[in-house]
Amino acid sequence: MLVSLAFRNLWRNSRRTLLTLSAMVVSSSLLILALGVFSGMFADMLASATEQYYGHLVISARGYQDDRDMFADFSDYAALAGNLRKRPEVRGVSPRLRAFGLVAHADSTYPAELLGVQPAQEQQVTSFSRQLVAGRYLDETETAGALIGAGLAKKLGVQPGDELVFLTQAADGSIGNDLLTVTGIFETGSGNRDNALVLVNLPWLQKLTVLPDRIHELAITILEPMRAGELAAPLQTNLPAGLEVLTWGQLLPEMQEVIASYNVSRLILVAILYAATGLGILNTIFMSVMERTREFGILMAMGMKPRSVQNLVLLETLAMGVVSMTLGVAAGLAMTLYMERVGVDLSPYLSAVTYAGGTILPRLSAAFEADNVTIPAFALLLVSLAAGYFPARRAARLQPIEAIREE
Amino acid sequence: METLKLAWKNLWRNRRRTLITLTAMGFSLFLLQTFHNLSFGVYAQMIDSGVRAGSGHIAIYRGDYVKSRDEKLSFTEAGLANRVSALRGVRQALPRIYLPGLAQSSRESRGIMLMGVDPAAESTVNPFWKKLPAEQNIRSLSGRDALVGARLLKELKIGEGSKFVVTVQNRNGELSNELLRVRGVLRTGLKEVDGGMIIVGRERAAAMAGIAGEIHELAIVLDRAEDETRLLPEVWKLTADRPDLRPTPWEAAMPNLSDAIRLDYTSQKFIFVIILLIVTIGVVNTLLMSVMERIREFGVILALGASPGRLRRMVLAEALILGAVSMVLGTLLGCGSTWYLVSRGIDLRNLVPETLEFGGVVFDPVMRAAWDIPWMLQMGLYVIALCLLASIYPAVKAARIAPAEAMRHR
Repeated sequence: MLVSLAFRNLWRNSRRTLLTLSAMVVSSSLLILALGVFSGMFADMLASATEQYYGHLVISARGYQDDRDMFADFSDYAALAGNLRKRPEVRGVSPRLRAFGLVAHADSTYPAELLGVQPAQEQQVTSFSRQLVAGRYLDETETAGALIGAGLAKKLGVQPGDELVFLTQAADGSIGNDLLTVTGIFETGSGNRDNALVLVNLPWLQKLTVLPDRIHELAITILEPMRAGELAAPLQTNLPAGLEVLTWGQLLPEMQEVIASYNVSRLILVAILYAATGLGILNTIFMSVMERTREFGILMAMGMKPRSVQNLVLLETLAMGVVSMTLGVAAGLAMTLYMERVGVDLSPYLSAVTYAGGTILPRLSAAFEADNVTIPAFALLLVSLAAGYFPARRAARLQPIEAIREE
Repeated sequence: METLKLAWKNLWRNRRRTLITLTAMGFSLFLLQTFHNLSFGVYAQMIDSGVRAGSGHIAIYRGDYVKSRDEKLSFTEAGLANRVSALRGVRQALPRIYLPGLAQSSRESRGIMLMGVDPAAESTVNPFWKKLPAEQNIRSLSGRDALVGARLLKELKIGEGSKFVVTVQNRNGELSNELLRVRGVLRTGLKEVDGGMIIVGRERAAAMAGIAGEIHELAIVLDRAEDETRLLPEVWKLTADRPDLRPTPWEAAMPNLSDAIRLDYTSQKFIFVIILLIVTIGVVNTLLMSVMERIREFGVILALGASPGRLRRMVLAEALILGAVSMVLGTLLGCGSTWYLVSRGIDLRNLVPETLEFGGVVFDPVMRAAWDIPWMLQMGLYVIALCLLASIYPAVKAARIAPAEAMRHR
């Protein structure tokens, strides 16, 4: 009975109710959209560091990631990689060898980092194969092929098919140099990759650096990057002595902290926006309670308990909360999904921005995260109940006789 | 005046409603001003440390070096730094050379950026030198002393005092090797610097590249960031005889930094717009309610001979007062919080890693606000404008009342 009474009361002043509802729907839906866009930026940022370089987990000799010591290598990785690939949470495992040196073409010479990879395996870990701007992805049959970053390619003035000379210090102390042929050019949008990274075939680099059958790391991508830590702990216990597994969070502690602190900043944002919304609701409900002073007096004189009067008012705000939550979540989700699918390209106005070891791409896209919806939704209910509390208490405290006398 | 007085009295007939509306608006304005001033201060700090380490407030480059970073685009310095330094408002003019190269120790080799500088001038302004003891600074322009990034030093497996070789390409396309000695360690928190930067005296770098007397960049650091617009044309004038030289403001020279700020500020503005939107809906609601309550009263006023225009003006005046009072309240609160954030700041050292990098500069974990008074006033006026905007519908509604019916209205 109270529920239907509450709904009828709300529609007695439909204009006021609709205006309040619209404020609630606007704030919750735009908030959900904004949070989705921020999540999208973080997703891009995380991908720039993981899916465009490290992977989510890296297995390497203990200490290798600290100083990239050429001699901190290991072999017999095939069984380990095979076992990892069997796990359902793992998307890809790529063995890699790394070398630093100079690449030259004609009379241009630039420093570069070479990653020796097995093209098919690397494709499951990093996204270079999907970010080509010219040529083709690496192919195992083209032993001396090279996939090169767009910035580096531009500086060297090379196109697919051109030859490069790579010069480096080999493990035996000699200077190794050999010819590479550019097969393709990739562009990730993040400068430190595009300007300095070259992907080559693993056997070619092993031969050049005189590190036969050896690798520096196994890069692993998983389905849920945020759960890298949970996966790493059991992995570590099964690793051969001398090897360690590091998560992207350990490799990039700043980024992990930035992403973790998003949970706090999200709450702050919700609190700020809803403070303004809550005051609006408070105002509406107070007005509607004051208008009905006489009516409440009559209800109480007829035997309605103060508690029921209070519940009636609270039910009215709760009803507004539920309705606006439903509409707000629906609109917010629709906008988030739209942005996720379509997005807005900002590259004419913005360049890529580096943040906490990653890169934020110049585009607006959104990423769906359950917390981005549930937190604003529940907070909206809480705020409407809290805003209803004072008016409800006031209504319950009315003295029937005085209330009836009021004009 | 009469109308304003009446409007003021009307507002206080329902004290609670007016107070809640004022609180909502004042509070929102306070939030907007506080967050804007905080960002304004943080951005100013980021720009300051960014320009000192990077391109200066204004940088002189040759051709499109700023985009292409082509080492061949060097230019003769020929006393330009001194002439620029003589301009009023210029703090320091820093001539620099940038050469990509390869650093080799006996065990390892790494790709690096070799930077040639005037160490005496840099150490007074460049934050890279902040944590460097004076006795570790490079001693001469042409010596073998080198400052090496901390992580790079570790990767090369060498320490202070060690010798290492740097290979760069000289102007003729040949590779030139040079033996350098680690004099000091760069600890900046910036990945690119700590992991790949080697700094030497300018003449040493120029000799390695075979471009004696030439530089790639003249970074001009100003006393006050606001002087940039005034000084840019003066710098243009100084370089007028050399048309291939292009004085470039930092926004263009460091797109990473300027875009980081723009990106951050844009997302903040989006939130601001939502807040203002919610508040406006709230004001419409309040004014509309107060008009609907007074239908009978308005009917009486009209029957007594007041024109509908007068009613409209009265509702607008009520909105104007609401806006003005909340502007004053919000701005007072905003001033208070800004004052606190300017003098004390927010200390995030326990939350944020000391090496958090954003837009190519290290984010200072002690955030301090700065006064942006024109913006605060502008926002205050916005709030008044929004109130007036929100009152249009209620005002029109009030003016359309038919007296006879309205008086019968309960």
